[in-house]
Amino acid sequence: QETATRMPGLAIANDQPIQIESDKLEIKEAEKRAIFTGNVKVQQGDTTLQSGLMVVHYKNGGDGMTSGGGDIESIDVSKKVLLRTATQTASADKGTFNMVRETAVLEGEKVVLTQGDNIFIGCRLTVNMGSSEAKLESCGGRVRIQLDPKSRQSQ
Amino acid sequence: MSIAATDHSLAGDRLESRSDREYRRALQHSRTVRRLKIALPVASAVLILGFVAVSWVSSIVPEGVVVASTSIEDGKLVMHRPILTGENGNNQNYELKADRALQDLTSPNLIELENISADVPVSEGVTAKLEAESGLFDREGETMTFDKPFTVTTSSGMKASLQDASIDIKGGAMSTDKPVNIKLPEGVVDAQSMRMADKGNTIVLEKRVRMTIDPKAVEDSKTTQTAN
Repeated sequence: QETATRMPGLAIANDQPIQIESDKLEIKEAEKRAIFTGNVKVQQGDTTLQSGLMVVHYKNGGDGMTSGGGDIESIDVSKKVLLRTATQTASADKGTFNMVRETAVLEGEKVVLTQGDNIFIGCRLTVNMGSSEAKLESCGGRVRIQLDPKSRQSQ
Repeated sequence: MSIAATDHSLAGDRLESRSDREYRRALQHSRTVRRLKIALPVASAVLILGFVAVSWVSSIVPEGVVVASTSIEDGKLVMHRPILTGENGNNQNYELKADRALQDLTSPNLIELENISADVPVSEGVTAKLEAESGLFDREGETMTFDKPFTVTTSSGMKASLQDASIDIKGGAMSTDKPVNIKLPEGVVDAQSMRMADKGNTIVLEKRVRMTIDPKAVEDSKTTQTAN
């Protein structure tokens, strides 16, 4: 059982730089990983992602280290993940942003997606960052939808 | 075991400025010094005549240092265009060049260096070029302390600008508690302190870390992947 929606905030807005803040950053050259720990906040345009831990997996271009053309392959976040876009918020236990396949997956015991006054609760939110289509799955149980009475009248 | 004769005659007389020739001679001697380090224990007492002129200098100058010329100024040995060479933990060579090196004769292990350019091995295949206005090199501990801003550029496309730092050349480690700016191929990183550990394989930045990723870096990974 799933709920389809859109999450334009997560579209890879190519023109805007991504700002990352954290208490600590460890760059592991050999493993091509950059590990951000402590109050991690990632911002691109009006989309903000917050978590306690974030690991950026990057690869240098073609011939390994010396070419220097580092590219980001994927980003893993965990420890209280909160994603906020202009119109929606999603909270989860962990998430993965695959920059190559342009998919973002937020997972957790309770993934709470709020859209305006409506609250959707499931266990996995998958977002196609290219088309910004988002799908909230309930993994077995029902996607509990809490429609705010006021919002129903306005629809 | 014969000491390989080092040919001191300069190949042809190409038009060279005096300092270039001196510089080349210094480089030639650094190889000689290294070879001598190996050959001396076994070699006979005979020294190659062309080399004798320099050898008395290298006896007072700390080992592994080759200079173009030296002078004594107010109680300090001043070495011009010194080249300090040595090996770090996993016997990768490092080389420190400077315009001038001053050595207080009362503490020969400490060498003040001016306008430094050093090639420091970071890890397999990655070297870091360090350029600094001034530094204090501890020959014995093989450590270098920088009190003035300096930059480190690695062959893997990173450029770090630091305010000060202490570097353990042998261990390939570096640390500073002052603001750091690092330009990476993927973007820019700022932090209030930095440690480079396990031979440069790990860089740890702490206190208000800010990173700006260039969207082009994200774009590149998309195009290259979908291509294959």
